[in-house]
Amino acid sequence: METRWIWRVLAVPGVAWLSLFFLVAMYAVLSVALGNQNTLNQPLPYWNPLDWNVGYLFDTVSNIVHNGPFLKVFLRTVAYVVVAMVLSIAIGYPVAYYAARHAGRWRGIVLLLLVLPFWINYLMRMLAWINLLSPGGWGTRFLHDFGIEALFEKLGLLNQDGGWLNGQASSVVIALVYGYIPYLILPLYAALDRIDQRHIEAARDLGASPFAAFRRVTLPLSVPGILAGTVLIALPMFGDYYTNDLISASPRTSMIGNQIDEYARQGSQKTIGAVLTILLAAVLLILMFYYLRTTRKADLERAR
Amino acid sequence: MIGLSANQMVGFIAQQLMRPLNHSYLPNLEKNIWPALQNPFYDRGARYTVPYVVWMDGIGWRNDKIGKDIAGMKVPWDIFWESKPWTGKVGLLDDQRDALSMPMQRDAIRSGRVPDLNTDDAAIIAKAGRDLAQLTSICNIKVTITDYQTLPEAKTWLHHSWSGDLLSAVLYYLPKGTKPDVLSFWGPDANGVVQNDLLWVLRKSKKPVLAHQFLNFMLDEKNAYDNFVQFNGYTPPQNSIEGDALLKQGLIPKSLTPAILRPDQFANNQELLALSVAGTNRWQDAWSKFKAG
Amino acid sequence: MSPVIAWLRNPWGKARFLPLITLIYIIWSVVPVIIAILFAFNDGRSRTAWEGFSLRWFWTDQTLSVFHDDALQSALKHTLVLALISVLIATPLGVTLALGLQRWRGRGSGTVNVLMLLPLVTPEIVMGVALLLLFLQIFNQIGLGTTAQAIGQITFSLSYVVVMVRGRLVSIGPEYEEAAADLGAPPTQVLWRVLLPLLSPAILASAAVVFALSIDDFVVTQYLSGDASTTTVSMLLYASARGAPTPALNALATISLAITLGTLALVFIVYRRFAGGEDAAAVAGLEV
Repeated sequence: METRWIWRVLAVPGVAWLSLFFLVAMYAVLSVALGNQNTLNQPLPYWNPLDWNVGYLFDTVSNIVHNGPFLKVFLRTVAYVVVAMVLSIAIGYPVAYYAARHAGRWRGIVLLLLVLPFWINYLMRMLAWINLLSPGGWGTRFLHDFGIEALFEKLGLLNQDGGWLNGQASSVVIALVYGYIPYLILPLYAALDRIDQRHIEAARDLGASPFAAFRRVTLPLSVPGILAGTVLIALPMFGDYYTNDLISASPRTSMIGNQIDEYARQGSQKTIGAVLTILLAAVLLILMFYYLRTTRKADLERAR
Repeated sequence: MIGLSANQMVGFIAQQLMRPLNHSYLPNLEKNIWPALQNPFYDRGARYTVPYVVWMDGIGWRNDKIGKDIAGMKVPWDIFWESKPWTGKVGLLDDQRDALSMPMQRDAIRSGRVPDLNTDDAAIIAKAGRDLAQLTSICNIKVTITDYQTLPEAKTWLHHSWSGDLLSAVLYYLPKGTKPDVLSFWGPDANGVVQNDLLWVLRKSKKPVLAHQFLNFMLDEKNAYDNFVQFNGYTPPQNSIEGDALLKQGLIPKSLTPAILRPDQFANNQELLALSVAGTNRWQDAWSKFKAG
Repeated sequence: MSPVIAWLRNPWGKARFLPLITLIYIIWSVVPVIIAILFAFNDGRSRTAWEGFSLRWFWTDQTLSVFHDDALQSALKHTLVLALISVLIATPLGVTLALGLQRWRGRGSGTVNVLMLLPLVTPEIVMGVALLLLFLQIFNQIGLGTTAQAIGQITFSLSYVVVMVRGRLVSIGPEYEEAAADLGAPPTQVLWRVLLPLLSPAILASAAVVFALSIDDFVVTQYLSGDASTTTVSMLLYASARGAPTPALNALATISLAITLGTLALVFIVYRRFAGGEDAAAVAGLEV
């Protein structure tokens, strides 16, 4: 159709916006990270790639490689995110499975309640959770009465020095799960919902028990959904800094996001903040592109 | 404008944001304010600013939870490194300059030197950072500025504090049933950190006379007192506001009279001033390293 | 057999523990927020000790309530202003981009697609730092402040609009356009009189999503904030954790939540009315 050019023209404003305010912004981070600092301690970006100064990048990387504090924080972040992801799947998969396949007449309301956290401010949810965990709060009393507090103390996950908000790694991980699990459950629900019931019926017809049908049909078919969902929450978790700030005032639980925030927004050396940002982005790039590929494949399949 | 500290002033003057003051509109400055602050070193002749409130960095604690006589110790700052019995209940100010200056003061007292709290020296700064890092394993230290609430609520028992925080604590944040004399404060008589916030007028101010009158209003004895007691708990450097007088009025308990700054303390302690570029970076690096756990 | 009895007979049967886990999760997820909303109506100053029902934090308290406290009010106003700007700009921008992308066959479409999806997968702190440096180093005439905040929010909301509108475009299919074109309508008319009305539910829904995203946004908004006048509700909530919040903060959060949910409910109702009509058209039309 000769009118095809009209459609391309329509896309121009959007593309221009994204190029200007996203691509250029990313390039600004690169240029500052590979730039220098002037005498007033302000970043001096080097726009020409030929001028790029790897000095700050090199310093930071060698700090990491030689077991400096950045490495410690980064490894800690990876540990938190991995544990949080495992917990999220452990809790989120049964919930998504129930909503997708067993909810029956409750499905509408369950779905509504699962979607609800999206519309509630993350900080409000986190502060509400923290409020319950403060000493004397209802959450603390509940956990104490049901012996969960004692269990955690025995496992070494909770110090006896008073409370859940005392700079424990376990509190931060649980808070991360609390904050991000809704973002896992919905895509997982969508993926599970899409599994064709007929596959399962075929397995049952061939004599499989319900559990075997689940294990050998549903579970494998849901793996792409699980992977996509976990990547979708791992990405923001890696950059999270506010959850740790809210839950724990202790340096012992700081994440890489906190360090970036400290340098880029609060500190005098934005160049180092930029370097840390591009290092983080580089590591996450693999995850990002994996997610983009799987969603494109899914999109294409659905469009057929 | 309210609120500016001496180390920020230089930058603001360079950017031509501040209007020179017309002292004929400010009679209260001479009448009520400490003589030393009428002509401070950071602003000779009070050309651009008048002082708003003053405070110092010290140690706040619950004397009902911690039996030790901290003020009587040879090096009171050592209490933080001896705070293992109170693990989980100890706090540090969440401010780069204030927090790192604390181990510097401790070292100086121990070795009998005079510290330079605006130092550029890489070794000193790095050592201060390492000293702070020890606190993480000793007492699982918290880094916050909410001591004015956590001390009265006994969520923390020992805190690196700004003197005004303890006063705010006793004026507004005491929970029902807690008596004010459970709170104590100690601040160094010399070579510690003092700071003051300033009042000043914008160069582009559309109503400069009104602005001056506001400044004069805030410098008035009664208004400054009201502001202190009813609004922020930080003491203005008024001649009439001093520890024993407030004690007699029943406003503060005896344990907190040290929280009211005296002019001689202000003179003998050090202000936090702007650092050189290299110095700024070193302080920041040490702080980030500490915050990395 | 009643489900309760069936459950009691076999409490560890696989299908039984699923609703239990779901119930526990939903309680864990929702109850803290309900309690926080409850304490917005607390008569006392505490956020953990209930002292009776009162509206003081909303408007009756003369100095500290949301109605009377300037800082809280200005944060609420600023949040709404930003949200409105975001919706007004991101929605049309996203719709046009979605239309353009969908119809774009040929070189470049794959790249543009990736570009459009990138903000969705970029961690917020990376976006925050990038935009901060953008407005400090390149667009420093704009600098930090409301404009920067709006631009930042629009940039990451755009992708949501495109994805939602494109999904709808795909499900509509090309029949309507082709029918209109066959009847002699020029492309602009096809767009204006056929496509946009058909897309209106998705456009409306995506506008609601942009609105909610903007109200709840934290990282980008904080990074691009200039001074105290550009504080939003999210930023106040965060700062309060290091301060001494009264239940007025709960009240502020409750008001903000009510606005978000109210808008969504409104959109949902409007959507149902639209979708009702167009379902009929779909049934009638697609048989062709």
